[in-house]
Amino acid sequence: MVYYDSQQFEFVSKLEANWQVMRQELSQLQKQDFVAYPERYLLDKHTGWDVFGLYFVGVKIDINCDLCPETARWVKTVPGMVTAGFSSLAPGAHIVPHSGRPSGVLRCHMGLVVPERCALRVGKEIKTWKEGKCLVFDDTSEHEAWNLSDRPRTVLLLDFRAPKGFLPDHTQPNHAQKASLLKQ
Amino acid sequence: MSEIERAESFSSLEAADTGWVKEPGVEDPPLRSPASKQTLTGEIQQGWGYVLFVWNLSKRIRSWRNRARFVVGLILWKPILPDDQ
Repeated sequence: MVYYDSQQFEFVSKLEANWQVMRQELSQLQKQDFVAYPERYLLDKHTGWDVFGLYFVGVKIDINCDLCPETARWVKTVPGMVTAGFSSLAPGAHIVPHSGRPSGVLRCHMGLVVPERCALRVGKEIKTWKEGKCLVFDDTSEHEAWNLSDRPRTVLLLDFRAPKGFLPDHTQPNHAQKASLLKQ
Repeated sequence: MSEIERAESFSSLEAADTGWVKEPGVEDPPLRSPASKQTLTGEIQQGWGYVLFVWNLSKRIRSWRNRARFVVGLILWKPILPDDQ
């Protein structure tokens, strides 16, 4: 399965109920609050993907959380939240097909500013983001995203630990994989 | 055939050609630019991008302990640190 029915995750309705507060906080950020996502090779033209991190690999980005206190408070309530922040795709940007590493997490995108002609393909399925609505998917499946509009597209991006039984076994990191990651 | 029927039949033909499952009106993924050879400059820019990313986010973390956890977390990637918390 690539996309999940987002409503089966309890936190989704809480996030969706508060999306406008988050968009309001997003609208007050300056361009310099965002940083370019470093994996430039994922972008067709090597530019156009900026992020504003609130939590990254489980670590709180204090000053960013101070700038968006409500958003930070809501994402903190997501069980198993590992990474959270705003992800902004510039006009014309195309994140080329790629797959995340198996790490036992699911990814949630909640649309905050979604112009026309933006979409996300996961596996064979292409969906568009909708403002105030969440898409939940397994990022170890091949996926790509694009923004063919003339405005930026911004979503709240969340990685959270997949509840038991939600991921096929091969996408859950086992002890050997964790040990090998530690050795890298 | 009405305009709507024609559009629907076109849409299903299109879906059959590509194999994509999509909502009505959604475009196919854009074509990628022709692959260009990886250059040393490109690799340096990529590396520099990582440095800037780590530096810019680290500046926004208050404690040195959490900065260290952030850097280690990036190297080891996501499953490790939350387990240790």
